Amino acid sequence: MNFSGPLAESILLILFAAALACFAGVSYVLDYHWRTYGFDAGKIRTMRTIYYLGGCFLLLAMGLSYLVYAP
Amino acid sequence: MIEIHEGEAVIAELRRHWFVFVAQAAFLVAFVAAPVLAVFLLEQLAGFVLDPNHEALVIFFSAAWLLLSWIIFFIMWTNFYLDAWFVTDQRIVDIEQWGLFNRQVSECRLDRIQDVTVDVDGIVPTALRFGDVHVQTAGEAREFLLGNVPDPYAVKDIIFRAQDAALRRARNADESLETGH
Repeated sequence: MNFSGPLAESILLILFAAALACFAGVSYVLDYHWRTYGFDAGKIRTMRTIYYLGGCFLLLAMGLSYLVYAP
Repeated sequence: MIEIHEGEAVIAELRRHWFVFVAQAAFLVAFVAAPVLAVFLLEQLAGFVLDPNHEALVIFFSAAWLLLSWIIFFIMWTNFYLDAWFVTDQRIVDIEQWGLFNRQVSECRLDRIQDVTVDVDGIVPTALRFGDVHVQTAGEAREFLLGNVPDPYAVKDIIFRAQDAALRRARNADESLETGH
């Protein structure tokens, strides 16, 4: 099976956009919960930082690999 | 966050035992490892070879899969962390967090508690000392369930001690009213 060409690039772009939208949407809801119901502000802050760092790193990896694949 | 009344003190803040979260996280680890295992099996059984020229594609899909797992992990952690019980010197507050969009907060006054039952069921809960605490309240069909809490016998003692203190305070207040002091 050969996964290449403009169709493959479009699929990857759509997947990347979906991942970005999913991360943004879930982040918004999680952040709302953490801000509203967070009992221990220090612990919540730490988890929030880890969450955003990890998520942004993975999105960056997706974005860069897309650019390498479809320059 | 719970709203603390004036003069009220939180005696205990309880959450499920860490083992419950670890058990859930173990499924997530299997979920993360599934594609790696699938590719390995395909290579071994069907002679499938991953094209080395498509490294970028492999990184793209791996990152997407990890991102999905990352999001699921934090949803699980949020559910675990926000699902809590508070024992104060006046009441028990039970916060049930189901997913991201379902949250239930209920409370019962300590003077309405009739009996408390501890249920430690199984090898792992016995070894790691966690279990359920059932709190039966008077006049209501509802039973409070503090599920999989660490050291449930200590929790039962905390509730009974808090209830004794609350009843004593109520009795003293009644006597003061009667005597006018």
